Amino acid sequence: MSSFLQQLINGVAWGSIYALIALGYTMVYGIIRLINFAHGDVYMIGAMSGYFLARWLSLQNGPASFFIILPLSMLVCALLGFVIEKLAYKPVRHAPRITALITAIGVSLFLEYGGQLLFGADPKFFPTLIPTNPFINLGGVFVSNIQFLIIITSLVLMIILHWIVMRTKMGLCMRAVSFSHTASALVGIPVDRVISFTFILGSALAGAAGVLVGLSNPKVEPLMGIMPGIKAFVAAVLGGIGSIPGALVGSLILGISETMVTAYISSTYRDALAFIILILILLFKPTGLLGGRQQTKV
Amino acid sequence: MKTPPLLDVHHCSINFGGLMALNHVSFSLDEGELIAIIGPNGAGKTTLFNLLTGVYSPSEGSIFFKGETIEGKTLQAMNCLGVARTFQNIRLFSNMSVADNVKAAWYARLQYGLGSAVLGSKGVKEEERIVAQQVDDLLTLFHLSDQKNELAKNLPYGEQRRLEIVRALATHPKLLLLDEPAAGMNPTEKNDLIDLIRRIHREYQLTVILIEHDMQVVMTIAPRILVLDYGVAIAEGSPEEIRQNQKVIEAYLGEV
Amino acid sequence: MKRVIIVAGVMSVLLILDQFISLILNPYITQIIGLIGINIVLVVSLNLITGFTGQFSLGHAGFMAVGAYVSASLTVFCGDFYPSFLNPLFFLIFTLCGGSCAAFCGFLIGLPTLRLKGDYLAIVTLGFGEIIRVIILNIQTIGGARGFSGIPERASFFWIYFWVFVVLLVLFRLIGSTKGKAFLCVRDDEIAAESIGIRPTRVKVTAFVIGSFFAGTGGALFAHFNTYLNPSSFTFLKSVEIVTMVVLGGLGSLSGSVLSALLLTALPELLRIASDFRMVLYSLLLIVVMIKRPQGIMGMREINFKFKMQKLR
Repeated sequence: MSSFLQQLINGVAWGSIYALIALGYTMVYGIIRLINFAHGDVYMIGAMSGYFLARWLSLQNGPASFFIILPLSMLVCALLGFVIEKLAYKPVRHAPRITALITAIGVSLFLEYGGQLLFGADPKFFPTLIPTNPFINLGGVFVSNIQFLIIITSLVLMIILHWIVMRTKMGLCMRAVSFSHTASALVGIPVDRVISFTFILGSALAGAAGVLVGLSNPKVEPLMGIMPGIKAFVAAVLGGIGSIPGALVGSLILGISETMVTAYISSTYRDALAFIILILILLFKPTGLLGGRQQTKV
Repeated sequence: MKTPPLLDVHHCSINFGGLMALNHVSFSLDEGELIAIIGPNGAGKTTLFNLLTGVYSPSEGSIFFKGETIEGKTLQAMNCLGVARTFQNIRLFSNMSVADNVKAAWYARLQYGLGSAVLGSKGVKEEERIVAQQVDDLLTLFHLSDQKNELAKNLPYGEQRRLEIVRALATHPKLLLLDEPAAGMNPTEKNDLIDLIRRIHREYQLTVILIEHDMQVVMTIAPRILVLDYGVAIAEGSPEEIRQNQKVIEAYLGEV
Repeated sequence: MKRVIIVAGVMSVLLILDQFISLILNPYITQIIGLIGINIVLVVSLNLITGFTGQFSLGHAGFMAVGAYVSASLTVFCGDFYPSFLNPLFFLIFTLCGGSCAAFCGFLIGLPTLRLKGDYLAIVTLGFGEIIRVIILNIQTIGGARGFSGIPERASFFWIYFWVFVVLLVLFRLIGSTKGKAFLCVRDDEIAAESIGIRPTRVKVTAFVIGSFFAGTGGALFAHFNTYLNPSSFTFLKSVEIVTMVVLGGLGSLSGSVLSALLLTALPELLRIASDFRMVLYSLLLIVVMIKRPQGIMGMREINFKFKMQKLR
């Protein structure tokens, strides 16, 4: 039983990372109806920039460095997200969706293999900013300080995101643009800026996820973003694409079930699980757990 | 004994999340009739078409085509039963040639299967020849043969409308539903369209339902008119009767 | 009768070339020519699904894997049950088996998921490809993660280009026939297709079944060409590679597919570009093509010698 609870906590920590990535997917999808395949690679860049920042700034290991690296990596990713949108996605915004999707795959491959050329294909080891310690003891079940940090950081970031989307003017604009670009433009919303802002926001969150993963799982390499990226998308679909709480719920479900499969069945099946869940959800509730209804107009 | 009407719409209602798009609409149509449905925007005209072609199913009431209920029939099944339609916002196969747009309408009636198409057996060639001939005839008849190798998306608007009608005709329907065929046409094109619809109606002995905003078109060709307003059938009759009907005038001009 | 002569002619030309190609060209070039042929089969088959029917699939490598592993296992495990002079016959049979298994998978995945549109379908087919890979990874008798080695080399020049011929013939016939117009109708407008009596789901499943059949044969050829299989050759990246070729050639152009399979296979090999640089090139090419010329090299047209000049604009 206690091992089950332990896995549950590991799953929640892992799910929080998925959630940070999934939020970017869901926001971008909500606003321009594009599966941003490159999003997982932005997360990789987050982890990479964390690694290089720590080296270049020759930071001491310690929680303080974490709080320097986290915002800086988020900034790098935000910038990257901004540039990707402007250079690659904006020109194909009005093209058929398949064109945009292929462009996104192209950007994703470019980041992966460009990353291999730039950083080398060999894995790097993220500095141990914070040594792992059991932090909270819940009757034999431990939450390590890293897991605690991951969960809390994700939670704080998500609360900030929620505040931005629901309480600020920019958030209002984002919600408006997600309904209709034309109508938003007509009432004077700067659609281009709102889309850029969405990419910046989503990419910053992915950057945070990259740094957080570097803490718990220090091996970082250029192709590390492919699987978590796709799975975070699955999580977003599971929760209902376009829905922010949905992304959180879907990610936690996926994180927990993956940890359970690894613990009790076999880690080799872990990668298939997300897709089995995806196929099932699309068959039985294509709009996701918390998603709305859509109908084709004739 | 009187033959049953070709189409019988019986107290049909449909609501979309509380909005009554159609409210107990009833009418029937005998074979060979031509009827126009008019009404202000949002009156439920296209929704009615969608019910008749199996795109939606009514929340209440029933529809009978050739004496049989169409419950549970899809758009595809309705076409195979002999109901063809055009769309308000033209839906052509835009990246296919004009000839192929019409040719595709033979799909459901072809005798051969994909297997023999690949093997290229004699029967296939013969059938292909016949189809190609009939497509050519249709295109000539409707003045589209000069453009037959043009991509549908490159046609001018009026010809796109015409092509959509020809495509619907090519499925050899009993009942043809035309959704605002005159929309966006200039006066000459409209006159051509009136001729076209009359010709289809006469030469193919088709039953036609026409949704149209253009009163000149409607009054010229439709012997019978059904008026919808807010999902309710408020009047039915000859152009003369409709023109004088108080409810219709109110629906269009507001309370007098 | 005319057709029999043409087919016999093509076969004998292929057989003659098969005999001479290894004499004239060095092994490296022969290798590339073989790979080009295999890629043509894969690209053309995906073009039926994505280009002609408009269903974006990212799982082609999965179907290819099914064909590769099924045919390779048959060759390896049933090799003792027939005399070796029947090798070519059984290679043909096993290739058909591999293709059929892939087609069956195409049917299974197609039936429930083809209701999904565009990007959802893409991600489901991607997932399906990954599931297949994970399953293969966990079957130890066919090597699992170590890979499947010791497959006899059976895919000669003749066999590869025999299948190139077959896939092109089938697709030309299909798309050219009135029945086959349904694929294009579904691509252009599903609702309009329904309104003229076409069942979109059925058409899409058909496209998936035919497309995955040929993906499977492509896989079978690959297995008996390479003599070694590894699950890591059938990742999402392989699917993307095939998609790139389809898109670059032109969605809906068979000659475009052939052309781009040729270019994208031969160029990086001939320029001896290391594999990671090749992928950077691919990715840039994809982005630039999508932005500047989304219709690919050929658009939806075919190379046609009677091509009217004014069409070239």
